[in-house]
Amino acid sequence: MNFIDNYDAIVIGSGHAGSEACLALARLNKKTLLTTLNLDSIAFLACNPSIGGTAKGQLAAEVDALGGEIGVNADKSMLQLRMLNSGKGPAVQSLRAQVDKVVYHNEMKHTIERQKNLDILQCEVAEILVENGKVIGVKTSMNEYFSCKAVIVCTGVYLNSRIIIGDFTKYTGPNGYEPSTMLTKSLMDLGIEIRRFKTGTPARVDGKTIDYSKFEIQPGDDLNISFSPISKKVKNKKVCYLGYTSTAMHDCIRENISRAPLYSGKINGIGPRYCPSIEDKIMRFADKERHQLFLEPESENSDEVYVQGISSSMPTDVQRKMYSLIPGFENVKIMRFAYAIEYDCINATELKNNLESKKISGLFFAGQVNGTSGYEEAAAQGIMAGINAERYIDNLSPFVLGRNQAYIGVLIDDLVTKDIIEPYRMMTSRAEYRLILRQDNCDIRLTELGRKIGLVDDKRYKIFKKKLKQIEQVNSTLNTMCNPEKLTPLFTEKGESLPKSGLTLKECIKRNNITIFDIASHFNLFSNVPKIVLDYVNTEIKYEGYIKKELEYIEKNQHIENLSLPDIDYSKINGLRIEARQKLNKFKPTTLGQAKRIDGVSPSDINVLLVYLKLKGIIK
Amino acid sequence: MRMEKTIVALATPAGNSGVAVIRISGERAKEILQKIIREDLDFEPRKMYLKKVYFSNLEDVCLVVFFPNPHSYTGEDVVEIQSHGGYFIAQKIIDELLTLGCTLASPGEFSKRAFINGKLSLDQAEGIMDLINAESEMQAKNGSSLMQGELKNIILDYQNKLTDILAEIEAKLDYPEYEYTENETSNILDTLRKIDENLTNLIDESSTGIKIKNGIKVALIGTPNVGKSSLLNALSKSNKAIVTSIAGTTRDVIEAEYEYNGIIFRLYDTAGIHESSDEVEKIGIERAKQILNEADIVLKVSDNFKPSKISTDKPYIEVFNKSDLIEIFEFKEIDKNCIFVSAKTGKNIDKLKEMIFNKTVSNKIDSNKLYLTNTRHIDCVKRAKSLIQNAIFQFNNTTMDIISSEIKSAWITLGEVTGDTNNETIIDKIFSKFCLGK
Repeated sequence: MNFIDNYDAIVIGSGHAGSEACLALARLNKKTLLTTLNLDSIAFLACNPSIGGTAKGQLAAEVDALGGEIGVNADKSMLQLRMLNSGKGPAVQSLRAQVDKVVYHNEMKHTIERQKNLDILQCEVAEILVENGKVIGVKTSMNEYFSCKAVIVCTGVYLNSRIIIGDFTKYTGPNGYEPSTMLTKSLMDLGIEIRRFKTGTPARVDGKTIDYSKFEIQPGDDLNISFSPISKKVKNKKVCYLGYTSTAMHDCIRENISRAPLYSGKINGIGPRYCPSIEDKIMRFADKERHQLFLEPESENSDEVYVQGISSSMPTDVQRKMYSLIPGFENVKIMRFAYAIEYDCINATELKNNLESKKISGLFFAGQVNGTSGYEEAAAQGIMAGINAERYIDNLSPFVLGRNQAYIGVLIDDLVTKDIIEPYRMMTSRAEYRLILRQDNCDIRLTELGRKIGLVDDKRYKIFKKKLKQIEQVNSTLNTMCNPEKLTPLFTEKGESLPKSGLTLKECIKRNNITIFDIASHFNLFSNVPKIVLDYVNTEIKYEGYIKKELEYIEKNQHIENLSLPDIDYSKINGLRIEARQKLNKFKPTTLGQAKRIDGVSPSDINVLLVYLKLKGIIK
Repeated sequence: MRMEKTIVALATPAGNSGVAVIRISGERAKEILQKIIREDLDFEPRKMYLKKVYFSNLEDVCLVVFFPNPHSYTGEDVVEIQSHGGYFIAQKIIDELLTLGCTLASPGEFSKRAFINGKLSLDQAEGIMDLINAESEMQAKNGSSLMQGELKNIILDYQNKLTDILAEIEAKLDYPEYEYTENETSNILDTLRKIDENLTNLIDESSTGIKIKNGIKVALIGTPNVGKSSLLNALSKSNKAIVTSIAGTTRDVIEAEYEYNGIIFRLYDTAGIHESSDEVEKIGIERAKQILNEADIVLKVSDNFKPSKISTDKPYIEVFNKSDLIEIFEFKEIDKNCIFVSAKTGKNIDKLKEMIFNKTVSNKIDSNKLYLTNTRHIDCVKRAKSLIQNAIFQFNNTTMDIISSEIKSAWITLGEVTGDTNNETIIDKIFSKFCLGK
């Protein structure tokens, strides 16, 4: 084999996983090649033009804290920033940014281009070369060979992808981009199980043809922050709109339901419940008279509008009709039709928790190819695969985050232990320790780790250290005692019962109706401290009891969670249900905690395992 | 899975009985059986054989049966030997089996092996433990319905209600575009209150359950020689207490029991309480006071129709014994707390049993009902209840993320009884109930 060039690592695919993966590798001084089917599709936002959302905002901020790019890139292309769930508690508050899809792509492409140690090549990888169970390189469709020690597969929805619009189907990636047609076979030859998933996207319509008076404006929040703490504060440039479907539209869909590919049997892939098509919503929730929809701007320099909530794979004539029945869309012009897309992906339970294949050393997978959905989920896996590929090359122990450390930990643990049957979307309800995994403490949780890994540069680290110092100062001020007379006016104003003896300012904040901001304005404190720092301290104080409870729970479960399991032949433990025996033998969990979360392993199976381990003297 | 040890134990209760069953479980069960009957027989599965069993220069004609794995109680090779009853014979056979290579089973080890080999679920195993220890009809009933998973269904029902609530809350936490209506939150609060009430009942009733399991403690007190021991014998129809006419004969706390309406009553005869210089008797008096503290009901026994001077804060009955010695014109219930009986003739003994029953358990026990008796289950339900109460208490004072986490913890805690703690159940519910997503 004549290798054109020798790399440490090759990343296949330049979407949201691939971008993070190649940047992490190159920043960790690995000579890296990024291959992409089309340079114009780098970090392409194929679905909605937004970054973040519930749980996803945390994921993006975690990637950012580790030294990733998604947060910074969102800031560079920001059109609007909101804090979701601000009334529902700190555990579920999340940032969501509307971004300019053109700028997002351009900025990420430029960042990758300027990165040291990183080459980019437009080509199709046809084969992953493996020798003695180890990755040694790749071969392209044009018969070029490149050697490498590690490969990260980030092919997104591009493996044998097919779009479906009614009767019309075509083997193509999103937006007319070429699909990858050869890599699936190479993966299968390597013994990797391939499955087929489905997802969909709504139509893009011409904003000039929308009657906005029939919609409700959704402006951005006045947060005075940015997604990443290292960016400058961002401004809201655009608004979104909220509207509703109509019964006439529902009737139209019902009349034409036999022409929906999902119902006519044309689509075989398994679609996500998280992004149901409008056909699905109407058929499954027949009694609902109308559904919400949101209009999101695609770019500052374009009239294209994304219609969130109305994914569909109906034929074009039905789409024209049904969209026009949305109040405000009477004269709407569709610019791109809604479509469903089917694609090949792998079963991520074949991966170790460093995202490396259990079968082939040096072969990593990240992003939608692992069966996830969403840019943030992809970016999170991308950076983790990048870090772990570097650690594999440099012979270092894997970098794994726990479920109690980050949503990234929840995500990857779920992927490698749960037999997911539909595209996986992160939700706050998936996390056990929601009060610890907050949006406001992502940097506090992970920046030090990112620094140790080597991805957090001096600039980010300095900003982080400054924030820690501010937190410390605020906390020490809040420990000041205050006598009751001084507190009376504030307590009376806020309707709090008056304290009998002196209180520290911190104790005042524990009262239901008093926040750190009340204290700040009443006593004229913290005028130089950023709101984000005060928010953080406020939450830590107000929820101290609950946070402590979660920490205690983590501590208590640490023993079971980390109890390492020897190589057991589970088929011999008859007390386990058959399904549990098969699953345990398939996954070979390394800890009891992992065994516990394997789908099909019930708590009583874990009890059987515990009794077994006790009888065998493995645990006392 | 094969255990290294082959275990043996008496499967029938120790003591006098017609037949004793000795059970052996493990890899060497069959081989050991062949040794003790001194015959290399290839046993047909599950077939009874009449064989001579040899042990310490003795022999007994026994019924023996071989259950090859996995079709046996423990899922291993099991042998059962039915010998003639009596502690002596069974014990000697077991001694012989121990020299032939068996190990004495530790308590519950058969069930533990059955559990590991998939013959029993955890709560079934716990049910069987109760059934094995069941001495009364009520206890047996409680034990057997637990085996059939009734308890599981009751708890599962509450858990399902929590799943619904969680789905409702979580859907709106993960999909911020949907807000709670006032109606929805007040429904959630109502359901929580109902579940709290249900769990409280389960816990309150569990003390009745524990009584079913452990029996009602009845203490007999009174001055020496009023006939407490005779009364105990009459109630339990046994001869356990030594009865003499010498005052102070009963120096120890004597225990006997009887069954009434399916409930076990345990009788504690105490040394007659009085000042005594006898050291042994003094110790007896101390222990009598202790029994008094633990009793569910106290029988104040006297023979002179004068109410006892001993005071107690427990429910009590004044029992006037030796009514046969006195001409009673007409027995009238002067007081609901007193009764004339004769331990000697048995007069009114059944009436006394009824009174004891009424004062302790009547109206409190529904024989068709299931009571929580397993300490682990009671503990789970108690913890779940306190989490739900936190949620209710905090409902209007804190944010929904906190409320949800309290409810979720309660849900997981109940799952420790039912076995369902899989988070996916809630997520499935969210998507089957609500129309969400972009």
